[in-house]
Amino acid sequence: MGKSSSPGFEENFEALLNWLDQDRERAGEQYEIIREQLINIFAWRQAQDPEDLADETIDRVTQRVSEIRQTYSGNPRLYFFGVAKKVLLEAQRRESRSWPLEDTAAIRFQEETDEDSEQLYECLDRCILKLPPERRELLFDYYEGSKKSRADARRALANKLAISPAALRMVMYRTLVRLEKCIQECIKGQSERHGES
Amino acid sequence: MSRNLSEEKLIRSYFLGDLPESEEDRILERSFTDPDFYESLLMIQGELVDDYALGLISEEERIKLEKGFLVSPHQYQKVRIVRTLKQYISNTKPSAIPACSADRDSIFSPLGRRIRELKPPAVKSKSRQDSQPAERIWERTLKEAHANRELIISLTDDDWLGLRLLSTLKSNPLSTASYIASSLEGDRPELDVVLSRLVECGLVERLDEKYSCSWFGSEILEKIKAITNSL
Repeated sequence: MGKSSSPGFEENFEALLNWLDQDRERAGEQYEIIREQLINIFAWRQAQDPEDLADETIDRVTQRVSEIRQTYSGNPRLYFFGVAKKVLLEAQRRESRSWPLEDTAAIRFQEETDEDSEQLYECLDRCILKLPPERRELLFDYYEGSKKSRADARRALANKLAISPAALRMVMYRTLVRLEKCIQECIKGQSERHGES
Repeated sequence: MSRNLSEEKLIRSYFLGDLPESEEDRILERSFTDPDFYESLLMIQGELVDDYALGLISEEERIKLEKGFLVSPHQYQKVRIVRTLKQYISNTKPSAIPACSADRDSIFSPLGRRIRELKPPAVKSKSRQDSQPAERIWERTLKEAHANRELIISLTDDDWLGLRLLSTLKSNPLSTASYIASSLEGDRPELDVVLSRLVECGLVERLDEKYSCSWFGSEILEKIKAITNSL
């Protein structure tokens, strides 16, 4: 949350949670889901820093929540979506001025240094060990094999677990998200340590 | 989470940047109000990232992704992770990784050690085992260790979801998976995996898509209760 120190923030944030759901725990879950959805839509719309934009969207809604509750009667998620569209538009205007057109993904990949790759590998190694063993084995089984055998292997894996291939993909997606979060924290921690030394 | 082909095609087209802006807006709006559709978006995104990272897409699709969806560093990081993961898997055998990392050692460890002493049904039938030749003893020991390990994992994985699930089934026999998912507020695919594991370990019985805690499951719950009370 970017502007958590702004006046009345805590009170407004309480009101926001209350608007999302009367039950505090469910409201917290709703908040997390909305934040994840915001990050994803900003990323899908090619924003440079989706997390910052998601927090900016939440801050804007939080600041106006008392007023929104009185005038808006629809699905709160759609309200967030409306604000997110505005935030995105503003970000695109800013980014189009600072963002070179030729900065494509392929070029960025070629620009990665050996140090970046080593750091990622090291963090992946640490984070894989933090996964439950069962999930780790599933990850290995899912990504092992050649292109030709992969589809068959994944079907067999889904059968073995008695779930549909779609459910297996969802489990793998959640596992990767978990891994990705852990890797991000690990890389951030390493960078901070390097900065200190 | 059922996905029909036309919807899958629509989502793929969205990520490849093939849709007009108005259609893109509709997709994003729907992702906010329809949880199943949002999950489909996430899954297809994951598949595209996988396919791109592992070089399994056409040249045309590769270019579209690089000029659109993957421009965001946030998205591109997913590609780097999949590539590094693939490389990691090629370099490592799962058996080379310790079964339990230090991070998993918790206040529940003594409980885990005690549960390990319990025998799952797969290793209970002594009369057959006694007639096996002596050289098979080590095989039996290994099987027993494996069964015990599976049993512990089935209960402790995903923040003890298996144990919570077993306890729910003990109070609510003959429950459907949907009912369990709603009462535990869990993710259905993850819940299905844990359920399937509990069935394999003999802790849960399945009858016509309905689940109940088995006699063995009840015994385990009772022992866990007794152990936690004595801790």
